Amino acid sequence: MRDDLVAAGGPLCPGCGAALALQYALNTLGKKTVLLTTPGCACMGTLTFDLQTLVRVPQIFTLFENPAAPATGVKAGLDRSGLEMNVLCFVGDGGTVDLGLGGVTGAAERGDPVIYICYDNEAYMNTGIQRSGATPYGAWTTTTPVGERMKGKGRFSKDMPMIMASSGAAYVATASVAYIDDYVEKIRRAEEVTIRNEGMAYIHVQAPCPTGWRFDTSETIKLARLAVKTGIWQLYEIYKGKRLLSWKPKERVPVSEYLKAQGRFRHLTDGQIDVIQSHVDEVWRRIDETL
Amino acid sequence: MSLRLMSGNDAVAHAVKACKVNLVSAMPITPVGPISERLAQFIADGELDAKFIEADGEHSVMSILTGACIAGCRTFTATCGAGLGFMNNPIFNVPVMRLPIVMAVGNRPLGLLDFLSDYSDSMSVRDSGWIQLYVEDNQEAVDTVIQAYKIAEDKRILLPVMMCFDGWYLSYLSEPVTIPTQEMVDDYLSPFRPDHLSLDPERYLAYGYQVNAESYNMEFRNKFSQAMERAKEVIVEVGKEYGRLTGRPHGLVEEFMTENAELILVMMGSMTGTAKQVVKEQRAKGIPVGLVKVRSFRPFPGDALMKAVENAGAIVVLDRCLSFGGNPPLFSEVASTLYSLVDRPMLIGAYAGIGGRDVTEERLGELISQALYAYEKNESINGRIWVGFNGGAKNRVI
Repeated sequence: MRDDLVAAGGPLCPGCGAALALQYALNTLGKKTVLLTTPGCACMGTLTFDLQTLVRVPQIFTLFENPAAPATGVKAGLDRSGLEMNVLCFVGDGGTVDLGLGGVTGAAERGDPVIYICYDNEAYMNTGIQRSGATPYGAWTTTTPVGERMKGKGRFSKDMPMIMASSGAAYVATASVAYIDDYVEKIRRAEEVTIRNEGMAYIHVQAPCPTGWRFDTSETIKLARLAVKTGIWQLYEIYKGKRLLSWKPKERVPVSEYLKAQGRFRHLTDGQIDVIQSHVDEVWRRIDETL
Repeated sequence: MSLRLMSGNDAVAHAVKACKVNLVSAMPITPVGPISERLAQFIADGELDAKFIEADGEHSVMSILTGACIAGCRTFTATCGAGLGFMNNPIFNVPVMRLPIVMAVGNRPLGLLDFLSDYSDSMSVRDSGWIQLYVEDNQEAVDTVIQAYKIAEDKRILLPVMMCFDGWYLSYLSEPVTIPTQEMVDDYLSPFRPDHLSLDPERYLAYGYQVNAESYNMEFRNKFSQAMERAKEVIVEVGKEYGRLTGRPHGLVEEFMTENAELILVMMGSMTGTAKQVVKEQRAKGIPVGLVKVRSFRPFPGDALMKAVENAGAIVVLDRCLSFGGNPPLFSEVASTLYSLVDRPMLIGAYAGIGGRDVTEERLGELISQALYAYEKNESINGRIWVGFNGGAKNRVI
């Protein structure tokens, strides 16, 4: 699109879920937005190979581990000079769930009115597919390899949206690039919450990665949709302490369909698939009980 | 302007208030916690129109200041020791973005849990691109905070400044200080108007941009380096102007009884006060000793130092921290400065105040005798003099 705030020609991989998430985030929030990115895929995606910027909004390249804190400072400075602009952190799972956890929960607790979108591709993709605190159980990465003694990651991921909700974020939502209308609506709600100065708005969007997850670049949306249909990825919002499901699959597709479509889970034994299925069943049992 | 009795922490907070900062963020840490407490109270009472952001760690503090400064705020924080250590990564980001942030560092040892003072904290970031000014007493701390904003925000410089004052020995010490009147500070320090920073959506500038080896990295570093060189001039200029207004001029180095001195002590920080007393007494006894205080460590004023010591026969450099397995910071700088002299003085290295070990008049007297003995016999000291090693007045050469 001609009016896109992220220009074409970026170096991200074909089929990149994060590129889509960034495009829609900026186009939804508009030109009056300060963008903060950390070293990672999305940050690299805002530069051409010869290091020209591709983003048509003011941008700050922060450290890997601190995006939320400069956002706080920027917001305070804008307020002081009476400039009404959105402040958006667009950060991967590594910079959010691991490295930046202290800063992002600190900003939530202080109630800083900034929008924070975590695009979750479930590993450190920019550095070459290393596991993060958001990498799912069983997944192969270069630091959770598959061999005789190890069969991918042995632990489940952190429940980051719930960490944010319990840290005091005013608005928390999960989203998927397969449900763009829902994602865009949530970005608008995040903007409203921050304009009303209610506190921090946090959106956790799943962004499938063909390179790291090992699937064909044409299947990004299909994978993202399967994640929701199997119930592995849940779409919900939390506002004023209430959690609302955005969409509930009538009948959940077995997780094996999602897992078998990706090379990173190719090695899974039936036993490991069962572990994942029971985990998902348990998550939904608790959702059904409380919602 | 009237004399008031207050602690170093209190004095620094009053100076920061007089500079009308827009945003303060800080973490509690001994021995500089009262600075941010006092500033928070000024803000709560409406005496200072600024925002106070309670951070979740020093790393976030420096990151918050980074964002706020880009958005046009005059900012301040205070920290020391482990707090400065935790800030390390964002500290290196500030100079490259040309953000004139001012930070008070109440020097405290890094590594070992120790509440007193040495320079292992600020020296660990001496190569980060921050200007570092080390002060002798609380009055100089006040004066240096006010000058720091003028230096940092000068269009020729645009680099951050650390005002380093000895934790505990100064931060908790109450002594009479003069806080310049608001009128005087307003007159001296213009409001912060950063032309190089803008978040205008029509301009959409990028900050902290990626650079590559063959594109800009080396050239950027060259520019910072030039700005740091220019800072030598600006520090002198700003210090002179301040002197005209207050009667307290400041520069890169301060000479004390260096005229006709055969032996000169070179040092920084609060131990200078004690050493001046010792030098005065020794001079009264006819012993030709003098002293040079290095106020600006970054940029390092090689020319000014050379001028101050070139006629001396021996130099004793007192370092307040170590560089394990190598020469400590002040000694290295002095040695490389003196190298170009044809007739080089004898150079003696000493450690003083390590981990906050008290630098008493007695211990300094002993140090001067040891150095003079070596100088008169023309026998170099094999090792370094550890001032007050194992307690007592005896210094050890190791």
